[in-house]
Parts: sequence; C-alpha cells; structure tokens
Amino acid sequence: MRPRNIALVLAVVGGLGYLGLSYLFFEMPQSVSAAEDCGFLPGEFVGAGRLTYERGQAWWVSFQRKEEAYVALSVAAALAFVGFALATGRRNGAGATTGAALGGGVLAVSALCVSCLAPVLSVVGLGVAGSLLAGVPKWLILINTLLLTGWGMLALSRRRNTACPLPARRGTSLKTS
Amino acid sequence: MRPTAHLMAAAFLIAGTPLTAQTDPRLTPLAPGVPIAHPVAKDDIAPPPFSLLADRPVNPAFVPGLPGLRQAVPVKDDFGVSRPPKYDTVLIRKSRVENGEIVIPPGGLAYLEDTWGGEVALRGEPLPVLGRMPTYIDDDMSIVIKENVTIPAGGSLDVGGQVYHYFATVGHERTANHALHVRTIAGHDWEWAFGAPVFSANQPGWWAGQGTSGFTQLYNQGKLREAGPHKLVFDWLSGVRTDRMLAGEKLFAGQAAVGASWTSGTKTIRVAAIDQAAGTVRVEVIEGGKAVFDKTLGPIDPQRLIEDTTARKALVFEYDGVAGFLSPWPEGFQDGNANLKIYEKAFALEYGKPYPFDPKFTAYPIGCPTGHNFGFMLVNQDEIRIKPGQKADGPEGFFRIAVNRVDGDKVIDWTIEDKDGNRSLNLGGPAVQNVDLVLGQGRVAGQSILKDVGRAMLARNYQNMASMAAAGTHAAAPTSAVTGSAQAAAVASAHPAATSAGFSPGFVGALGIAGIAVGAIGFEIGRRRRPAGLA
Repeated sequence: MRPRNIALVLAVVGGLGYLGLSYLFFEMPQSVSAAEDCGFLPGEFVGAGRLTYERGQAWWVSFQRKEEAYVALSVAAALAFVGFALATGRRNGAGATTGAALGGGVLAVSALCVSCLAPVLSVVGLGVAGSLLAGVPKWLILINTLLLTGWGMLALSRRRNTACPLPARRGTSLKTS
Repeated sequence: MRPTAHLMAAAFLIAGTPLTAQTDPRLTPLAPGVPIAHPVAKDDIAPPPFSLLADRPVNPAFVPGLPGLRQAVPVKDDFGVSRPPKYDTVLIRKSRVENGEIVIPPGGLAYLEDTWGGEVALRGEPLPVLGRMPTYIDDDMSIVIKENVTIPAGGSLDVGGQVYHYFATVGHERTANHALHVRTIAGHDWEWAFGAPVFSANQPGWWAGQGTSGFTQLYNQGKLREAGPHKLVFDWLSGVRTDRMLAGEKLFAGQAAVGASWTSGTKTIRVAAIDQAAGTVRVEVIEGGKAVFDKTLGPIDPQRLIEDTTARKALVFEYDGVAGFLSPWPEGFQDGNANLKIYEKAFALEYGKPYPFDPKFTAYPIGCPTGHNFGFMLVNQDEIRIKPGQKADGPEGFFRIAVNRVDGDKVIDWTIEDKDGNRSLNLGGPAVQNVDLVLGQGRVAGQSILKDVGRAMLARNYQNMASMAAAGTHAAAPTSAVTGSAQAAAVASAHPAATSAGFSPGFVGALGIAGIAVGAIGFEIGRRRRPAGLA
C-alpha cells in the first residue's frame, strides 16, 4: 500500500477510534463539579450519575462543548504521520524514521493529555503534561499538530525522493518509488 | 388533645421505652390523638462550640473535595431504593495565628457526614463513617424545650440540636414582619425543606394568623410572646436532638425460623420463639453457654413507623456490639418465620460523647425535625496547635491540615490533604490570617453555609487570584498522584483555572512552536521550488 493510503487509513482509524473510545469511557458525572468539568451546566445535573440527558445524548453534548473534535482530529493527524513515517522508513533511514514516528506519537499523546477521554486519563495526562498543555486551547493543539505533521511529511517525502535507489528485496524488482 | 389523652400518651411512652422521660402538652402532635413521636428530654446538653451564626468560619478557604473526601456518593438501602447522596465535609472555625503557629480552638475543627437528605432508621441505609460504610440501624431522638427565650435581631440561639436565627425584618407602611430561620448545630438551614416561620404583630391579614401565635415546624415548635424589629420573645421553643445513632455491619437479613442462630465473636444470637399470631419474635444472646440477653420484638405498629420512637424501639434489640430488629418490610412474618436483620460490630455515636474510634473528637449526631437523622459531626475536644512544617490529624487521620509557612500573622502556605496524601492547592497567601475552611458540596457546605460565608469565600478567592496574577505566580499544583475519581478531576481542573488568566506559558510556547512549524514548511516548499541544479 502506498504511504499516503496508509496515512489516510490510519487517520480514519485514529479519528473514529478516538470517537468510539470517548463514547465507551464516558462516565455520567457524580457531582456538580464533575458535571461542570464535563461541560454541563449546574442546572443540567440532576443527581449523582444523572443528568437531564440520557447517556448517549450527554456524551455528545459533552463532546461538543469540550471541543473534543479538535482532539480527535489531532490524534488522527498524528497517527497518520506515524503511519506515513513508518511506510517510508526504508527509504529515509532508520534514524529519521524513528524520530519522525516518535514525534508523531508524542503529538498524539499530547493531544490525549488535554482530552476528555476519561477522567483517569485526563488526570494522568495533566500530571504528565503539567501546566504546560493545560493552558493551551485544543484548537491550537490541532493547528500545531497539522503544521508539525505537515512539515514532517514534506521533509520525509523530499528525503525519500532524493534518496538513492535501494537494492531489490528477494523476489521483487527494483523500484524507485 | 385532651389532658387525659396526654396522660395516657405519657404513660405509654414511659412504659414503652426506658429512655423516654415524658411528653409535653404544649407540643402540637401530628394529628389530634397521635402521640408525640419522641420523648421530651430531661436534660439539656451543651451543643458543640461554634454552633451559632456568629461563629461561622471567617473568610474561609473553599475546597470542593479531595479524592479521599468524597462528594455526592450514591447509596442504596436494603430495598434497592436510592437514598440521598453522601458528602464528606470539613469545617474549620475561629482559627488564628499565635506566636508563629496556627491555633484551632476546641470545637473549631469539624468533620461532618453531610447528607443531602434524611437518613431513615430500619431501612438498611449505608452510613459513611470516615471511609467505612456500615449500616445505619436505629436512633434515639428527643425534644428539648427552652422557656422564656429572647432572640435579638440577627442573633441566634440553640435549642437541642437546632439553632434558631432571627434572620430579617421587613417593613410595610407602619407594619413589619419578622423571619426566623431554623437551622442545626452543623449549619443546615431547614428553609429548603420546610420554609421559614414568619411573625408579625401588626399585619393581621397576612401569614394566616399563625404569625402572632407561634409556629409549628414538625417537632421544632414555639409559642410567640413578642415580635418586634429588635427582638423575638418566645414563651418557649422546642428543638429536636438526635441523642444517639446506632450502626453496625450486616450479619444476617432474611426470614428466620425458631432455633436459627448466628455467631459474632463469642456471642450467639438465637431466635428463641416466634408467635406469628401475636406478631412477636423472641431473640436471645448467648455467651459462655448461657443467655445473657433476651428481648421480645414486636408487634409491628405500621401506622407509627418509622419515625415514632416507641413503635421503632419495640422492634429493635441491642446488646454489647450486636444488634438487630424485626423488619416490617415487605412482611414481618411469613410461614411461621420472622423477617430479621442482625448486625455485628455495632457502635453508637452519642450526642456530646467521645467518638468511639478516636476519643480526641466528640460526636454530635444531627436531627431533622421530621424525625430522621441528618448526618453527624465530629469536633476536636482539645485545642490544636500547628507549627510551620507540621501537620494536624483529623479524626482517625481521615484528613490532615498541613501548615507549611507562616510569616508574621499571615499564613502563606497551608493545605488540607486526605489520608492518602492527596493535597488541595495552597490555601494560604499574603492576605490570609487563619486556616478557616469550608470543604465539601453537601447540604451544609454546598448550600446552607453559603448563605453565611459564601460572599466572603468568593471575595477571598478573587483576592487570592488577583494577588497571584499581580505576583505572576500560579497556584501550586497538587503534587501527589490522584486517583481517577470525579473528585480527582475536580481537583485537577483547578490547574487550567490557575493558568488560563492571560497568556499562559503553555499558550505562548504553543504559538512559538506554530511559528517555527510555519517557517519550516515555508523552507521545505522553498527547497522544492529551487532548480534541481541548485539543490
């Protein structure tokens, strides 16, 4: 499969995967403060574990109000970049590939650190990222992710196109792209 | 109620329960002929210190909760019915700095089992006790009556476990009415449940006439003598008091036949006899081969359960750490068997007596005027002194107060932490002169007490934010690992609140990274456009 197709598949998997996990791990808040943390208004909190919304509707309301779409897109972009880096690995050399893949992974984890995937992850994420990422809006994290992965893909594709042709693997013919 | 009925009711109460003292003809019953549900107390017992309105926390810090001090814990009783959620509340009152150390006077530190609603006996309702969850079994409630009582405008007065607060006077033309708030020694304001009595001596068309005679708020009652803008004077005021609440660990629940027995330590609880026709079951406790306790439980009086003391005590037994009762629900008897609930490791929290698991603290169960329990308080018996660098334990070490830095008469750095070490943010600051605190979101900490100190807490919070912004500093983050509870998320959420004012370092850093990335992309595009020979 061509690297761009791999990146595209991983982007779809990452985005939809985040959406699914977000739904699976969503917990109905147990207190007013927890409800407010999830983006609900105090008036929408009925009692422990109960809102004026059903669980599915509550998840979607929280997803929208907490701007989780930015996180989902950030994770999708980061995973796509990891896939692209690994797919072009043989042509770019082990060092560049590992660095690029790790960079993509760091971006994905950074996006998760400010996500609402689950209270546990949110707390652990804030613990890992400290106050640095907690003050960064999610839209800016998405922009940064797109810029950094875009730069990475441009750099990797340039290196790949200017690299020397590799010897053919056993049973395959030599190809330059 | 006729005098003879009062006498009969009093005689019945005296015969029915050893703890009952008497009733009082001045009290208004639920309905004509219905006995008063609780005995009138023979003795007044001093309330915990700082029960009155003047003794609320001064400019307190507010902490919504900690992972180990849980908020809105859902509970269900034996019948699967959801009961009001439970909250761990901590209050600190009248603390001060003295000779470079923090002083909390006796009674100044209070833990409150802060329930959102009433706790009902005999229903198998879980009772949070500092992290444990035994079952609330039964209570002893009495009614205290004080005579010739004067409450000055704005003042408050305790009667039993209740506190009467002359809240406001409102004028109309040349008339006025006066509002009385009925509260508890823990700070509840019963207005949310029962409204507030209003009196007037000169607005005869309003307040349905009750305003000149007194008020009846279930068993909190009073006979008004004088109502004016400067004081309210009562011939007498009554207030309920939970004298004792009993809890224990479940040992058995279900239908039991004659001869059925259960062992707890060296004791065996045995069903000695059942008389379904009479509606009674005889239970005995055997220790060392002989019966050391014997009581016939029943018959069930469904009309007066659950709140009536006599009706309830007829069903309950208790002996030296074991207890139980004949459960009326769904049926007391079935096919010759009795519906019993048996508990072991039973313990009691008694009003004004040492807390059994940590006698450095005194217990005060809280009574609701409708005959339910409403949580309990544990307050420090002795003065607490904390030097900088030291910590003071709450009851059973359930939480700790850590004082880190004091500068003159200012508390620069102090925190509260749970027993696992999860800490609040730094609650001190350059303008903080005590460690007064409201922690929690329950009926008291999250609602009633906000009427009294909410404005001061908000002002203090804003002042701290302003001083932090001016100093360019940020509140210290909780350094201990927190668990994945909703409360942990609530604590951690203080992080963005502390860093979101203006451009945080993270925001500036992210903008910088974006700029670098844009430059790098431009560089890459530029390289691609160069002629191949120049590459």
